[in-house]
Amino acid sequence: MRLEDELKEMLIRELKLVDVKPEDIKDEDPLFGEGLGLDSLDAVEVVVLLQKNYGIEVKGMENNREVFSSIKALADFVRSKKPQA
Amino acid sequence: MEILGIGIVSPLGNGAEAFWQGLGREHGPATAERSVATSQGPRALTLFESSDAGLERFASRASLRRMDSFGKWALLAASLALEDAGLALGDAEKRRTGLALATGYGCQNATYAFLDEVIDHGDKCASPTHFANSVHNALASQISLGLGIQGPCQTLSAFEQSPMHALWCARGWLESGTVDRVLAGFGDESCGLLEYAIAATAQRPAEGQRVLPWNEGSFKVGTGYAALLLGPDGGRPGALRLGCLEQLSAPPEQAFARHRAVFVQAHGQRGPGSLHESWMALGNAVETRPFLGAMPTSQGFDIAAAALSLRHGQLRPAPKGSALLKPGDSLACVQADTDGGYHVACLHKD
Amino acid sequence: MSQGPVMVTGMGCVSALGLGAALSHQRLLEGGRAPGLPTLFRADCKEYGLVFEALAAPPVLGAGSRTNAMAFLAADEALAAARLELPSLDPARVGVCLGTTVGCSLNDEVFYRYFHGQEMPGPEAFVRYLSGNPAQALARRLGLRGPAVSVGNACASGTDALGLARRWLLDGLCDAVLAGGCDELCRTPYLGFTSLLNTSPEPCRPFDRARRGLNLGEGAAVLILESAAAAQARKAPVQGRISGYGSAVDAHHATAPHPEGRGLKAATARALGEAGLKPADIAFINAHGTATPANDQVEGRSMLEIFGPGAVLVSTKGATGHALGAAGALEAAFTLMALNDGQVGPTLGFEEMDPAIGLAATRAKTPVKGSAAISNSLAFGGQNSVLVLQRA
Repeated sequence: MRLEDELKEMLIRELKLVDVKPEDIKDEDPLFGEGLGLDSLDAVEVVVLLQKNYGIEVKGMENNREVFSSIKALADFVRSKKPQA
Repeated sequence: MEILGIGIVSPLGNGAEAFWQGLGREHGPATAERSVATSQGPRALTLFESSDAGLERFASRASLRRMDSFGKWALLAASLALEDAGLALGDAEKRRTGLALATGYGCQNATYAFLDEVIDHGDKCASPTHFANSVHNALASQISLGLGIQGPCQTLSAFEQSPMHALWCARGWLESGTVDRVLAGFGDESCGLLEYAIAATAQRPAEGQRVLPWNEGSFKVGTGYAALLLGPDGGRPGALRLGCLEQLSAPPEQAFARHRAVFVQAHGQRGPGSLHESWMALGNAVETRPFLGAMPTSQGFDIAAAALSLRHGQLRPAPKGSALLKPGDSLACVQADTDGGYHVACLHKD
Repeated sequence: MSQGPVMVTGMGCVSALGLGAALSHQRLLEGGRAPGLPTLFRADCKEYGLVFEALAAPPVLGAGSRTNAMAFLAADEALAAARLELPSLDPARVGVCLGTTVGCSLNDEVFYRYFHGQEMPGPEAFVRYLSGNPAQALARRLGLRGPAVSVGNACASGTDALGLARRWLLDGLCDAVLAGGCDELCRTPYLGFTSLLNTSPEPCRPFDRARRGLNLGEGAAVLILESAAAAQARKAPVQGRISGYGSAVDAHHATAPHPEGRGLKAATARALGEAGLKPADIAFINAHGTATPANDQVEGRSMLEIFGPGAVLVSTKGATGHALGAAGALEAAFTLMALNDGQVGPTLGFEEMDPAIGLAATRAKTPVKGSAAISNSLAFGGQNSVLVLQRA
């Protein structure tokens, strides 16, 4: 499975995004604000999910807004930390 | 205070009508028998289960995604209370509505979901959402978000004394004109740890050990959420009035003489010679435990049952003898607490 | 009488500043602080938020938890300061109202770990929990039979407990209340706030342009509250008054405050209204001031809007950390002592004003003129609570 699709399933499952299917989320869509409409609590939850599912540590949020801006950005970030993902 | 609306999430079903019907039947509460392993062998518990059936009428699934089941019960009960009162709150009214919530155990499942992540995956995997749901006032947050309520808010906890504190708080706000109405809520949930702890706690407590107040000897674990929409005494004919709200240090035996019937929570004091037994022997004592199990905030449900009895002119649960209520009849709800006090609330219909 | 002041006749404080109300005020004026990594427990975090531990607090015989031990210490100090002889009072007319976050939950992690691992731990932790509700435990310890309840409003609990206790007195439910808050530092809130990315690995910087987050703390404070009539009748030593209380929820978000401070402004208006005061009457503001980007922004801007650019703003969390359920009670005590002394201390950690806030906090000991001040607490779930306090 593409990492992008894996991440979509993770977000839907863990953030309990009922009524959203993976095919509804485009790789380039914004995740926060518009697009998927996630908020600040989801953002910190995603940080934990990256730790739990990929063993990636994200420290603080200030430098990471671009990383979380879309599925594609998130997948690129995961690949940069875990090339084998 | 006047009881304007009643909302119930309970093992008998959800909504005042389902609750009322359930109290009229000999059987019916949703229960599950649990056998809990303890170091002294297995112990049987009966869990009285609640659900959030019907919440979809008030809130979209998307808006509920963060809430755990306890939060959903609280939001549902509050929504049902407003519906029962026939009220839809405008913006100004939302600012003049208070929340006074009582809980004994608080948000247990969220607390243990948080610890599960920490234990299974490590400290770095603690979930902020579970943490936010585990604080005692998470239910207040969810009710206020779900209904847009912006008035004052208190979440109060003192085990079986909690309901009385929520009612005193509500009364204080109404009488001082701080708010025009109050949603008072009473509820507890259960979880694996609680069931284990209840099962493992000795039935004969050691000297000085505080008795397991609401389940000793019976192991009937109640769950649910009851909400009352309260307003100031308006003097309307037919209004359901809630008053007295006293804390006494002697058993309120006169309550049995003065009122048509008394709803009894004399937790833990069961068996021959106990307070519970002596009260139940009086002709006009009723108890909701067979229908709802028992939990710290049970008195809140008793008050709801008493209010519905007055509304219908008929006593439920059924007492010995006639269940008919005459105009002018009043009811009392008494909670005996483990510190030797008694909390009494009285209701009548104008 | 449904409005009006209630008297504060005694105060007791336990925090990282040390033991004792007067000592705490002295240290706040002097401005020293020493947050560090947690020593009370171990945690495995990618970044460690600093904490303010109340290590001077000794264990107390009969207290089932550090939370309750600190509450008992603070209560003893407050009773002595108030010269309140409990045996001379009707125990049914003395209440206890304490705010707490960890004190009401069964979050004994050791007990849970055994259960989670499918071992069968003894039930002692549960038995201790049933006797451990802070307000009930304090009432039981002192033989009190009046209303006793713990307030679970997260970070606003201490302020809300004082507000509720004042209401009890005005409603005639009792004649005196031991009111305040208590919370010990432990793993669950430490890991929880860390997971929210709300904590700072540096000493916290309330209202500062470069602030990064809060430092957790712990402690307890108890104030003896009495009706004006009761205090006068026994010629009680009056330390000050609580003349107003306001509370309002934002109904905006589970963890973030309303960006325009909707609930905080409503609570402030309510509190001032009860006290019969205007913003110009307020000598200073003891802010919630946790040093998180969100809280300080919303709170700072709201205070600027209500009280104007000349407002004196102080956050004592720079010196104590965020003591959760104890915070509002500690801060009420600090506010009264500052009013009586005519000066507030520096906001430790504050150096440069944040232009997005537009209000500076105190950088040094600052004289305050006037007889009234406010103390704010904001909490998860959009809870906003404000007290109006007046000098003796």
